[in-house]
Amino acid sequence: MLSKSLASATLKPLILSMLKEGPKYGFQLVYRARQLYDGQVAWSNSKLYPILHRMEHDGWVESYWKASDEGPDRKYYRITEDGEAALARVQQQWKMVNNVWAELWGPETATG
Amino acid sequence: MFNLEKALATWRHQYKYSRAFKGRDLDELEQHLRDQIAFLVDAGQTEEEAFREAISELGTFHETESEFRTVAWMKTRDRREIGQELRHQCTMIASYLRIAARNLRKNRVPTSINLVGLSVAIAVTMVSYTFVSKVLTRDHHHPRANDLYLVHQVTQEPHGEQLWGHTQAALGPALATSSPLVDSVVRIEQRAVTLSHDGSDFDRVGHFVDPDFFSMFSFPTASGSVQHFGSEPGVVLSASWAETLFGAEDPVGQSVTVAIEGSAPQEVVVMAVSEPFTTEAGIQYLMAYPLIMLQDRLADDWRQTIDATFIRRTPGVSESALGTALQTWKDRANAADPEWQIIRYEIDGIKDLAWNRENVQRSMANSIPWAPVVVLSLISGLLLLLACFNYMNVSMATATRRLREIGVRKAVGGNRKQLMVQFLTENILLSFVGLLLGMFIAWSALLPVFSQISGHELDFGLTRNLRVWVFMAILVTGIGFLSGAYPAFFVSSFQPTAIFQHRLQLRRRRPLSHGFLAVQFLLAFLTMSVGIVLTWNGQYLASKDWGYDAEQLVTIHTDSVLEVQWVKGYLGEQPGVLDLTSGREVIGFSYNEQHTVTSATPIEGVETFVFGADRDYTSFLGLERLSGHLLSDSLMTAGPEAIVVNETFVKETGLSDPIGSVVELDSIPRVVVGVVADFHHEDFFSLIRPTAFEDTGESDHRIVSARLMPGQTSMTMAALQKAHREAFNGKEARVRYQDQIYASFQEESMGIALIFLFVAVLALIISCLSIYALSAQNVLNRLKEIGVRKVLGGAPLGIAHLINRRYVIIMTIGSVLALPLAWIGLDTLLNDIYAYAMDLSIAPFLITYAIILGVSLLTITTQARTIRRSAPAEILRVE
Repeated sequence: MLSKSLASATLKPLILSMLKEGPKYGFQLVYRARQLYDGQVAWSNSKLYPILHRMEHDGWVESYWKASDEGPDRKYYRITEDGEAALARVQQQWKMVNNVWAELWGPETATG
Repeated sequence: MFNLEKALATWRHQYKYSRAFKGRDLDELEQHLRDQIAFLVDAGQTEEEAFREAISELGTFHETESEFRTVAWMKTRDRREIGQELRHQCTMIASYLRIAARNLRKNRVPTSINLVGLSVAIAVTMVSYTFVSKVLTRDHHHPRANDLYLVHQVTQEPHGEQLWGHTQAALGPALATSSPLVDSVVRIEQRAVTLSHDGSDFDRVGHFVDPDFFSMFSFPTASGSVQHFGSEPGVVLSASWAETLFGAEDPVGQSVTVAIEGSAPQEVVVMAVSEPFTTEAGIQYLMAYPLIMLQDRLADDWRQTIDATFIRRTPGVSESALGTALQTWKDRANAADPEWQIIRYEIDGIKDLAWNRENVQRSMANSIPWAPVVVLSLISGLLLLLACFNYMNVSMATATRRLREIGVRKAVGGNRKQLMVQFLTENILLSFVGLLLGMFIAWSALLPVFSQISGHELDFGLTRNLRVWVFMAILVTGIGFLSGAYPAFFVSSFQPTAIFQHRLQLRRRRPLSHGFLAVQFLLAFLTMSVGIVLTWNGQYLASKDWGYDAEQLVTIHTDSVLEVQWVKGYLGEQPGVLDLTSGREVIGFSYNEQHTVTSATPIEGVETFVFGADRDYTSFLGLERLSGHLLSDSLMTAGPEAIVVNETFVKETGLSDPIGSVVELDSIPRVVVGVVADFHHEDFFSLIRPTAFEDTGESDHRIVSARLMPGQTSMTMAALQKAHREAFNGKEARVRYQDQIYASFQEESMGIALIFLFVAVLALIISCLSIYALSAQNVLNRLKEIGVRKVLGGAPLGIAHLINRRYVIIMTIGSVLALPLAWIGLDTLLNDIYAYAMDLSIAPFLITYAIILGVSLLTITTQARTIRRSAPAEILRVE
């Protein structure tokens, strides 16, 4: 199971990366993350939306509403150019971290 | 049957009123729940199970709200809704305040009880704060106070380094003319001056100052101008002195005659009168004279000294640079006076003068009067605590009145936090009203009385002092939270179901309220016992023996030996005069401090009070002879070197066989011929000092002492005045009565006791208000029991005491707990204030307990009226 602190630290790059695959609404993001982590991550869903809203405020993502079959409209999020640039920067950093682990633990362990 | 739409609507209702969710946040969250539920139902769960799991993964309302709150303000800005949000917040506060005001009005009795307690405590606190803050910031109000310094000199003494407040008179002018680091210098010299105006003479200390005195220090003028002070002849009067000399008349332009230390009198014109000095003025004067009037302090002579040299540094100059620059003058000073060698000069910022006063000899700064500062802080602290505990007790006792309100608010969706905010708003509002009332009480009653007692003009300074406003804000919120937090927490915990089903057992749920009442009585006992013990001590000191006979004793203070001889001659012929003597000093009014060394004295020597008078003075005073002779004994054959000393002198100089011992007083050898019992020179505040009596020639005598026959005083003195005026060209004889010394000591002593008694009465009133509220509520809560008891023949008074006796038990516990605290505290306080206080006994504490018990019982007795009026038939019929 991924620890809470690591889950929080990786949340923003994870969201940006998932949105790079295509626009998604809140539950889709949660569902996709679970798939990626194979259910080995637990976060409170109440945390997700304030982070999405902050990223929207920072201009990394933008949102639009679309009618749904049941209940209120759905809010979709998509990555912006600024978001992609931010993701590229974060990717660089995570790659650096990954290289350090590869050096210390051997390439196979580091890349899984 | 589970209905998903209904469940989602209920879920959404809970979130609807929170300001943390903006715009369509709730739509987004609801859609999230719906998506997850649909997913879980597809996976095989029932709608109800899916709903519960989705809700649990989303988090509780508080978790979600606090997460959304982190971005709420950002969203408000993004959506340009700041104005709207502020309006909403204001509306909410206004609504809280409106409800608070309505509740306070509705619960009149508890509100009034709380208000009385709070406003009295706040009034006392505001006066204490005003006094204490001004005393602790003495001399901070002068312009550029951060650049003002007093120069000290440091010498090496046998006991170590010693700081001195006086400096070489030439140092100031030298700094002013040659040091660019200093932009202004003011020297101050204090001298005894005899002032004559309108046929009256006054001996006072005059302040002789450099011309820049009024620009360096802040002394606003009430009339006249100080612009040309020092460059034109003229003096400046203080407000109090102007009133003494001229009454209501404007003194500006008028002249007075001054004689400086017995020199020839000269006329000076009053050029200005200053405003009354405030408590923050550490440097004060009665009359400011130009220093130029003292011819002997003007010469560029490094051997002459002056009482104080103040310097103001040039802007931008550091303190260390200023200190270093001063050292260049040290050699000059040391070369001029080989007997007075200084190690270095030091500077002390004007803001620190009062704080460092104890370490400096011959300093003209006033030290901080710690006794009133501590006593006043203690009093206000105790009263504030009492008022807060009173508030808690009354709020908890009357919580039952608000049960329905709490139940209804909770039932319609109000949460605990909102209720607590509501209760705390009420508390802060009440504290605010308490502050307004307290300020009014302080301003209209306490401040004028306190100003009169302390002799300083005191005002809150609301228009010029931001700190007072900050203090008031802290006071109001502090009291609001301290007194309201626990009741708010307690009251908001009630469950609506329990309230409406009448299942709430309030008495069982109030474990802390009895503790609060005990603490309240502990505080009341402490305050009350301080008042009673101090009064007791005042009575004890009033009857304590001063060690000499001061009855029917008057002293006449003269200006010349001629006048002494005339007074003695005149009084000697009066039938009402029993005994006469004269001297250079008299007990209680003056003394001559001399450095004493004997072969047995500790290395640093002993400072001795020396009284020079004729040889009859010791027997005239009725001092008890312990060994040797008094100077008046006919057997005494020793010459002018003979002295009579007191017991403390023998003890402190370490003489084992004092009679016949040779001691040095200010380097002159003297022979001890007798020892008298210790006596109290001025008061019981300070320790008895080593004292010596010497026989001085009549040419030095300036004071005549006379013992009069009982009942003859006023007649004899009136006759003396008349004859004195005739003989001395209309000049009045300056008569002092020896028992005035005791009167002023007693006044001071009883003043402290009275302040505490006054506070003790306030403390008792506040505590009894609590008991009143608690017992009244108790009676209301137990009406049924009272009904049954009445039916069975119980008397109202008996019932009142029976059902309220636990308050008496709590009061006793509080008092017993307070006793050791009171004992230790009072022992320390008495020994700190008085060198000769009474020994503590249990009696004053028993009296304190009896008073508190009596008043508490009396308060409870008032409930007998309610019980008498209650009709058992009416009460029990409801059942």
